[in-house]
Amino acid sequence: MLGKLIAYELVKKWKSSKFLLLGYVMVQAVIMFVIRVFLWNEEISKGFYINGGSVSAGNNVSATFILLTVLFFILAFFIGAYPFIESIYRYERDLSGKQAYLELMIPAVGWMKVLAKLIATVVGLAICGTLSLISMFLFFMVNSNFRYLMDLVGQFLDLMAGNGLEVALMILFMLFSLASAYMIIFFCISVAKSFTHKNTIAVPIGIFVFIIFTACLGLVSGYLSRFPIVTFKIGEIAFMLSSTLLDIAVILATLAGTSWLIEKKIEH
Amino acid sequence: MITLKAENIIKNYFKKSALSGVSIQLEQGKIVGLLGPNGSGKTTFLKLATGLVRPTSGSITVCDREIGYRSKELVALLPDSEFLYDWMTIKEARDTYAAFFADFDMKRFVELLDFMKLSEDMKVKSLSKGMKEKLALALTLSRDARLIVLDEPLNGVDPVAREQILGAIVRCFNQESTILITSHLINEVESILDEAYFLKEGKIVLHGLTDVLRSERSKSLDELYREVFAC
Amino acid sequence: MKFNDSAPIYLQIVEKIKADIVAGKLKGGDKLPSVREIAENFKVNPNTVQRVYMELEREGVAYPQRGIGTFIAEGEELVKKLRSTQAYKYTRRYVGEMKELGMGKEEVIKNVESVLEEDKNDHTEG
Repeated sequence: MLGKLIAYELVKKWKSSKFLLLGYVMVQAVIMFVIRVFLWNEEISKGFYINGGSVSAGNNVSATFILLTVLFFILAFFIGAYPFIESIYRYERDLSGKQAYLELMIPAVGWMKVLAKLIATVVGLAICGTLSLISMFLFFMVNSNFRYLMDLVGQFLDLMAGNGLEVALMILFMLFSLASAYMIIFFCISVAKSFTHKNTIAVPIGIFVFIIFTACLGLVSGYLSRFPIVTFKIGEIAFMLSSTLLDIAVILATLAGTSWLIEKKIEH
Repeated sequence: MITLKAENIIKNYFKKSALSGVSIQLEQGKIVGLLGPNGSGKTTFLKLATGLVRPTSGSITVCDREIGYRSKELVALLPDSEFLYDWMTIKEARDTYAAFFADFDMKRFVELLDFMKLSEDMKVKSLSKGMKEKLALALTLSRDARLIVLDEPLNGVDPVAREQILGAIVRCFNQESTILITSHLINEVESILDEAYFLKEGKIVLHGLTDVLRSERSKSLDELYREVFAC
Repeated sequence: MKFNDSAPIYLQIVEKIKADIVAGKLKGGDKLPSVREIAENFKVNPNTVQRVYMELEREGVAYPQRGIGTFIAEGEELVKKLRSTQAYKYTRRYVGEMKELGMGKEEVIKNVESVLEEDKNDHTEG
């Protein structure tokens, strides 16, 4: 059942994002094409040399070039952040929109439904994040001297290989933090929706709960930093047991809370 | 076998009381009507039976199961509004139902779809209101649910489609399940009802087997309805 | 089929079947459609149709054959009997209604004759 729920959530995401994603790819391709074919010159490629960590600006760079470059990166950033917004909107619609009937009719336990949404969200973020990074990489590639870029990539890969564990851990940690952030937001939305579906009232309630929650979290976090219990290292990265436990507790609590609300409290 | 047992259900919202002490018992092998005007609490009751809403007090069970995800397995609901995604094709809607409801009967769905003259490749977006209603009905009736709840299945549908819908309902009737229907179009549905409950302002004011109600008062249910609900 | 409002639906269907027998549309030995078929055609509850069957069997108009179906009873007797009972029923109804209008025996007979005459003329004019 969990698998089916996840598949369903992903299909919903794809259907509503399909055009945006394809549009994004087309627009970025056009921008890159225009820049490379019409605006590119040696000066620009110099601008993309990376010498030991610093980027030197080239001369004779046209205004159009700068504009388009800026646009490109704004779009790339946007697409990376898009799933974040989409998920929140989707969750709200799933509870209160016309299709909420279907959502609520599905005979699955509350926590499965929530977990499926969480997983689908993280997957969405991973995909769009990767898309964003690939776009930026391609941009550099298109505009620079190929050889230099490959050197850079080579260095980067060496770094990865050498510190594989840390890198994996960092990615894991990042995903975990994102998942956490989501669960807190889902939880707040759920609390609000258990009172009413009218957004004029629900949204302020949701925001209120969110503020309270994060404030408490901040306080507890700060308090705990004085009592780490134990500090341990995985590879080169240091962790405090108490804050790690807190992070895990938060995500479990929000998961449980949201599940309970969906099961027992939220009404059509 | 009792399919649904509701005892003294009270449902209050902030400003109003939707149901004030409703007791209904539904048996297997019956088609039952829940009749009443808008705002009488019909839809609220249906939502209670399907677990979309919880009672303020009173108890309600479906085949002796508490309302929750376990009862949802046994109950099929046809809501009175558009609840399918626009981007779905009929095939995708069917697959969604088949994926989540273990009691979905694919063969029956294909038959019903054929009966309703719809085809798999159509997109929900392009369907008229009548066709959406028929599709929703086909999906709902293809489930082998113990309790089938149809909220205003004939609303906004032309007379020809209504005939088809009534025919489909009768066709899918079986002795193991109960079909609960709400409708305003009393004279169209009354011939398929075994039993009727009249719901007025959150209370059951009349209940009985349709034949008994009709013969005792020498009136059709339609006339009876007008009598009961005339202000 | 449009149902009369207050009489039990199953009886109305029973009457219709009897009328069909008298008119020769249904013959002795014919198999009645299944409960489901009748229910779908008339848009009535299958439970109601069950009662139709039971009533027909009770009156000896039809008989069940296990595993095969329900059949119209055979024999001229049945048709004759039904003919007279149905005719009586309809006439009873008609006379009752005419009486409510205040018509006497003379008027009732005159009306029947003139309508029959009309029908005859319609047929000859074709």
